[in-house]
Amino acid sequence: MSTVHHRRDNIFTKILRALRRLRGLPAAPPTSRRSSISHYDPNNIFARILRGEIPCHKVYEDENALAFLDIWPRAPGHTVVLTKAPLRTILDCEPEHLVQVMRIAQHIARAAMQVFAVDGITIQQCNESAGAQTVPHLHVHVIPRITGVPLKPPNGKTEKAEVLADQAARLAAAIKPVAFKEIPLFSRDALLDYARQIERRP
Amino acid sequence: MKSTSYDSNNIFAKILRGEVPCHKVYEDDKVLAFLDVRPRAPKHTVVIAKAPARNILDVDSDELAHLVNAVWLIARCLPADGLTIEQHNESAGDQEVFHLHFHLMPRQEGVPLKAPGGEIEKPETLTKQAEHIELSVSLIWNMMWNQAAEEAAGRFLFDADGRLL
Repeated sequence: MSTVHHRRDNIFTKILRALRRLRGLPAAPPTSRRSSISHYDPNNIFARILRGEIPCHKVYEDENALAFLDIWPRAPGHTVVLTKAPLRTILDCEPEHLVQVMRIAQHIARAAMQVFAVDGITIQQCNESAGAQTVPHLHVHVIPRITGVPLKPPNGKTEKAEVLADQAARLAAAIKPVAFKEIPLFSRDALLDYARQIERRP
Repeated sequence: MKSTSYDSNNIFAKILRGEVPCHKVYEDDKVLAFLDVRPRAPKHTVVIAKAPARNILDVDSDELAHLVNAVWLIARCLPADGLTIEQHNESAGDQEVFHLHFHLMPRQEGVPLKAPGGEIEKPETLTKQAEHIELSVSLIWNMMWNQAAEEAAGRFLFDADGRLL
């Protein structure tokens, strides 16, 4: 075998740079794919719940995410799923953060259909105050719905602690650990395919 | 439990088969995104899975992950003061089309969402908006491709002539 090098400047980057030149884009790619427009406030209520400073009616927890019942439910069983990473909105996160939270939301939705015997589920994810976000920490609402019953307005009446504790225990018992498998936007196979296609060209 | 099987004659399935046109903003092998013809806010985008799933309750977890990746990508192409994402399951959960989808609604400060099923937007407005979003998706896709390639460069081995081993 000939000498092996780890090269930063490889065929991918050469081709992509050429493509960018063709399209009239600047040659240097941005250093980060984050397009953060906001900063994270470490004293928001979800951050304090994550630090254990404020209790919550926990439904699910793993190393990446936490789910608990909303104390101002818009419908009985209203659950909030949040990432443990200090991220404010969808614009601050990487795709895997959103995928993790949504996979857990899916498991909670399925469990809630059984546990609360409801007819449907509404999932909401709000970003910035204009987008109806009230706590500046990336989260998803999973709201069990009954036919003909509209959602209550946000931040309404506080639910009784014993009701929440009972609902949380029933829901938690119905949720199995959620396996996390990353589905990358650009898989290794896709990159290899692309590289081989380019190599085959004369 | 009510019937929760997939009906392949819903409007989104027809759009996927090309029987009904749409104002497309993004497409890959797993996902299609287009503008809602009855927008609840300007540039209201619907992101749907290509897999025949009714909603989040029956979809395969990996198909959902592909869909969420696309939601993440398109969310970056809808500049506004905020963004409201909704995903409805079954009629009780406000689902109207029984094919798994996410609504992405860009929001301006102080402007409430219009009621669902409102007025149909003018096709020329939708075409123009779709062009804008499609262009920013392609720019962001290109940027990320570039970065993914840069990251991959450290992981793959090349010989002295730059050939992939």
